[in-house]
Amino acid sequence: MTHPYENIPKSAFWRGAVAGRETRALPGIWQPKHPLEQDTKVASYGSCFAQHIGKALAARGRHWVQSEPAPHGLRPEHRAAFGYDLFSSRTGNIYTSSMLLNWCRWALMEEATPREVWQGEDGLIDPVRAGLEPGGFADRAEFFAARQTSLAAFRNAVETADLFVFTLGLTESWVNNVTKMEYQICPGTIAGQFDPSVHVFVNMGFSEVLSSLEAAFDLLRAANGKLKFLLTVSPVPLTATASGRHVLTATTYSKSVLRAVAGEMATRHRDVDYFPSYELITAPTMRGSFYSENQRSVTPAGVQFVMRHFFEAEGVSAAKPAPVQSPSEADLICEEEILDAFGDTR
Amino acid sequence: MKIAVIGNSHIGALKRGWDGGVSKEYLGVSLTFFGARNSAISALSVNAGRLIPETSELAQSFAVTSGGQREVNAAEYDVFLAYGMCRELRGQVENHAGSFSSAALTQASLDYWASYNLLKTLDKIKQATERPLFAGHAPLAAAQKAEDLTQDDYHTFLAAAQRLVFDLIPAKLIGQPGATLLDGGATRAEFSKGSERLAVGKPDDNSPHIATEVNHMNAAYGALWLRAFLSRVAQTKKAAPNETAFS
Repeated sequence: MTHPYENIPKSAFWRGAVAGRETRALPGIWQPKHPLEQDTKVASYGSCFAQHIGKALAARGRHWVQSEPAPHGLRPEHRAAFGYDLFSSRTGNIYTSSMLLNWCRWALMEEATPREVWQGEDGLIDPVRAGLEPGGFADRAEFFAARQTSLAAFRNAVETADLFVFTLGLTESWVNNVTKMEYQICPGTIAGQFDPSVHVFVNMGFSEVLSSLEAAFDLLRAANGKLKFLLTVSPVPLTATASGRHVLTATTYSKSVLRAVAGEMATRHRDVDYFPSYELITAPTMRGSFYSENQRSVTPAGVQFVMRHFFEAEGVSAAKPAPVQSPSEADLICEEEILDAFGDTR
Repeated sequence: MKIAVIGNSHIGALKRGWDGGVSKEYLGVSLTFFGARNSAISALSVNAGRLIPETSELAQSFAVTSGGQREVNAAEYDVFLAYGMCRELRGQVENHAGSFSSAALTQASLDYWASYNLLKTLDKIKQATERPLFAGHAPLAAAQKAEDLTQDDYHTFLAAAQRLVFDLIPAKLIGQPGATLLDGGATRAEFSKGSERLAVGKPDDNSPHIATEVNHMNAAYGALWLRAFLSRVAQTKKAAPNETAFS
């Protein structure tokens, strides 16, 4: 008697494909739907972990779209502090699918952007990208001019790219229940003032994440009919949760939803692929070794491990043209980590 | 008035302009050039009012460019000019024509100047003397065809550099004369024709730069620049007649 498990590949069996391997490498874990060509133009956005992708592409001589370049002469550490060279344009971290949809509406549909401005200690802070202007903008004119520049650059990146890489990071966010504006980070943490009568906690479920991602991708396809998509899920746990749950179960919930949505999108759409950076870091065989001492940040070795699988699957040699210079943990700009500071007071 | 000109290969154009005729227009002024090619000038230390080469190469270059002096005794000069010692200036002009926040522009300007020997050399001169300091950036690269940067963009860049960086030393930043500018980001091509290597005691001293060289300028450029510079020095002296440096 035969059955289906007699004829499936070795990669389908945990013992041979994962647990029984002599090395941690997981060859064949991903077969790209849209193989990367030498001249494929890649735009990248998303949560903190997405910041690794563009630099890794550029280090291998691939075409990473950068439509909002930094001022000439700005040193690399200052470029990162000002939000340059992290993503294809200066959006800051886009943690949620709903925030991606907002960026698409503002940039591609020319919908009005929120008028709310936070007053920082030395300048004005943008609530939709709170961490990217050290000290803040000088005045409202500069604030809104900079946002328009970034919206134009986002549009340009979308129209230029062949592949749109998006890393899903969070399901939790804060929304203004009057203006319906979604904040990048909870008001009152980096700047702004928290008002419990106005600021509402949202924790999206599968259907909400899926629908907002579908809507965002529809807008992206409308702007660029040849655009392909690659989704990843950040393996970085939540810094803190406002869900009322333990942060570990909240993390599992968020990542499970995001991973499920990414899988659903890749199953539904021929132009959407999923790259398993999440699995490569969190698999039991890695024994948590790719997490740094705080058991949350991914180590440079972990990032290298992920990117090596990405490029090997793409057939891009690691030897050329230059070693990957992944940003260290300190180089990443992650606004949500500010939440960690509030944990010490509990 | 004795002026010390300290810089890299770009002082070659000034020296040729000075030796080629400008010196006869300013009979009360003497210029002494202390130069070295590339970034050899970085090996300069300060001790008891003297700028002292830390390498024999730099000392030899100083001796050749100055006519025998292997170090700079600051007390012998009334005015100091640090010249050249920076690259890729067009990008700085472009910054001011672009859409950047004031904070990003400020940081980019600070980062840019901090990375080059022009600012470092001015700082060393300041440690050696309280006499007036002037600075001249390396010329914008020469080009045949004007592009989208305007002279207003260039002057906006100059004013910002003065305010953000050079006022802090303090030193006066002298820009390129308008007649040398093709647009706001390039030098007219005729000023790079016939440029020659700075003589520092090497076999290729005074040999012409290759035809495609667009970063170094000729004696005509040097003459125009020096006239603009000496005019600013005179204005400064007029504005501060009791300044001991000019007495």
